[in-house]
Amino acid sequence: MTATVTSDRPANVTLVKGAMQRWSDLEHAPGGGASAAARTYVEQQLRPDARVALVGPHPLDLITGLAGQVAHLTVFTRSIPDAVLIGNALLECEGTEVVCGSVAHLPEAPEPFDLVIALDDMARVLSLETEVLDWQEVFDAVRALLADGGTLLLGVENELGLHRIGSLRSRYTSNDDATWSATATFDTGRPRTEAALTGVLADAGLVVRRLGIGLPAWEDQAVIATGTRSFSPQMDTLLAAATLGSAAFRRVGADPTRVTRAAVLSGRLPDLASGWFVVAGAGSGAADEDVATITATTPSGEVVTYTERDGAILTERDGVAVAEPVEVPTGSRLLSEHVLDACAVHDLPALRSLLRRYAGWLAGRPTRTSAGDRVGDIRMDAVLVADDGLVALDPGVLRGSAEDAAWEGLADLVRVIRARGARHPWPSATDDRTMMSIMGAMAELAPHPDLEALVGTESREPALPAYDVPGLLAVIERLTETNTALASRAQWFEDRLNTREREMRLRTARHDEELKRVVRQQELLRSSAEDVRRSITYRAGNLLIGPVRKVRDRGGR
Amino acid sequence: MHHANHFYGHAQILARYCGLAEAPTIWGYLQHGWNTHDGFAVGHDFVPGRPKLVWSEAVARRGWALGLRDYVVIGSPWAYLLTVVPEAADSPREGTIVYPFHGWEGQQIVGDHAAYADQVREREGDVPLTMCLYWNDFEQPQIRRTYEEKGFRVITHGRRGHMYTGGDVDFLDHQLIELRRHRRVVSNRMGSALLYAASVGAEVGVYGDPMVLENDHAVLGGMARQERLLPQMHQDAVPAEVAAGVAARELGLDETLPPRMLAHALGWDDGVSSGEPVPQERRSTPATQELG
Repeated sequence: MTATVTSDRPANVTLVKGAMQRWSDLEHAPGGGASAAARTYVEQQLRPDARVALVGPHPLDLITGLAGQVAHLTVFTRSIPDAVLIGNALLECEGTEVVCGSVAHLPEAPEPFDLVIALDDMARVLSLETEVLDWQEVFDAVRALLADGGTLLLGVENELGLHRIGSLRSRYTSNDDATWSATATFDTGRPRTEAALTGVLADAGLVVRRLGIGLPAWEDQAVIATGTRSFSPQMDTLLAAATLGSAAFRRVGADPTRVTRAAVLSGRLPDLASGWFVVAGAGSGAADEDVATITATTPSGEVVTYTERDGAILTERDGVAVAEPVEVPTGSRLLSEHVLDACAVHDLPALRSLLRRYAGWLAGRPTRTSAGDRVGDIRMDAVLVADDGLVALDPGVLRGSAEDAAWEGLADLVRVIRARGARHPWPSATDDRTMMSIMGAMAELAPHPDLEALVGTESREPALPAYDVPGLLAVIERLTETNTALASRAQWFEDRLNTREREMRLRTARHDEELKRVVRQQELLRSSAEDVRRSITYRAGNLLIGPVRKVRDRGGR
Repeated sequence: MHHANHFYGHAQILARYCGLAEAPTIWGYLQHGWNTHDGFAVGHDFVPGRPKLVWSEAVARRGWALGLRDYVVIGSPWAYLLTVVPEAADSPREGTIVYPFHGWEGQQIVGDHAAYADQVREREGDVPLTMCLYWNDFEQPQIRRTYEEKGFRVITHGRRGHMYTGGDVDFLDHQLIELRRHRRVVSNRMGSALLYAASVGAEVGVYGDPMVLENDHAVLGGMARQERLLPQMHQDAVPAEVAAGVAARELGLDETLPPRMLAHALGWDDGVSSGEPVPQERRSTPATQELG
């Protein structure tokens, strides 16, 4: 009789106050810790015997991945649909549970956790089923989960991040379902600087052990760097290169106003990070050494980590140390930046020199001879220009011939030019194939037999830019120029056709006139001949000549 | 705009507060009961752009997350009634009034009334007990008799009405009178009545078989959701300050608007002095109906 109506949910899901009946966070955004770089950060904190709490929305595969690596995992989510999804995914995992509701309103305090992970900020931890809490109050509730001596791994979005500056839509004006939370924007108590964040942590009795920044976007932190204050110029160069060359940066925007590049050149990239990642310890203890590291997700999905120690930069790829330290020439910049600049200012000699240098550099690189050889990244976004040559950030062998590699690099460059709406020195109506041919010729490459296929393959890459209004406008302007040029060309052909048609009509008319004149002459001749036949002279002649012809004809027989 | 705006005489109360003799059309949708969903009945159709006039911020936030917009928090009609009908200085309180969870015209309640009556008597002891039934339960003699035979005074506050007809416009006035008479107000489920009671200083409690609605909507989350949301209210005797706090928040006691602003929110700018009343068949009972 007392069959109260509840949502079906797995046994490992507990609903508490604040559970949101019909709301899914994961439906709107994947949550914190989505990038491979961020996950590396998480894994560094895991201990097999640890009790771990994951607070707020995080990707499902991150959650299930954690479950097998720690002694206990409690996932805190405010959404019942998400809790059901996560609960079902964790059904077979021992030592896991899902608590759905408000972390600030748990009916009883859970056993403290050795590690609390909250990489999605506090905005989506707050439940709307309870009274509205500010950022600090939600943070306090998350902090309360931590055991003495435990570790908090916290992500906080930077409101002044590049991703917000270039965002298509303002959070202050958005009116969609996901923007009801005031803690994301309108909460004045929210930490908005690194100093404010460390102050909040200190007030909470937490010692910051590591402080990192995420770039280029909050939704996709492809690059995470720690110890940026102690970065050497070489590490600054690497951070800039990893950011500008990341697939996430390309997706975020073409950045034609070059805000990111301006931040790089002014040394302020860390100030404009999308957010901060903090590892903080509860209780007494000193901060870790401020290790300078960059963890970047490459376009191929590999995670590369650069660590600066004793003046040398050590590299790890997917956790495996690379024997040779990476060489970063002081003051070097990405080749793609140089090339795009040369294109923008129509400096064809400089462009020709750069492309020739690129092709020559590729010709000197080893090619793959066995399946075990590691293929490097030869895109211009992964090559630094130094005074005395080019340096690959991801050294390795070429997949095929140097010529093929150069064409691949050029195809990628064309794609970047198109995607960013970048200025280039060629006529507006120049198509991709023609542009590649020109640049191939500038690089002194032999003509490619099938540029169409190469361009076609590249054009299947994700369309860019996505959220960059200046970028979109630039693309529109370039396309407008192209369309204007094509329209002019079409008009020229039409004019030519009209001229030709007029000429043909004129010639036809002349021909007709000539024909008529000849016909008239023929008529005149015919008429003249008739007149002659009808004349007395002609007929008299016929009378005289006729008998003579007959006599002649008989004599002849 | 919608006939639910006139349930329980809500529109009339708002009109009285605004100084009108009759309630003009409310140009919006008025929340008509305490609600853990978006403020309205499941499947309610809205005309886009028309305001959703709700009691509390929580309802507005929840509705936003569900994709609804145009919420305006005005507080509950009950909050306005409290200002229209102030409490007498020396009103004695005695006994307990019981508001069992009720069904409505479209969904009947499933439960054992006799067992519930025994439970209430056992908990409340030898005090005057009043059982207030919703009209569709009240009009079933066997239910009335069940409680009467166990010493309850059985009453109803009237009908909420349907399609602008048959509603008791002084429904809440009757309820206010009764709530101010009793020392305790109890129910087997959280509901508007308990919040009303807490707002007028009566001790409140929730216990007993919660009963269920036939074909209750899963989206509402049932009794379990109420218990999660307000665990502090699910006890025999809720501490006064706790109950008062919950009532203030859920009824929007601090959200009420001055008459001019309320009239504006309801679309009565022109109606405060000369508004056209909504044609409806009024029912106004002189006092709470009791089993005769």
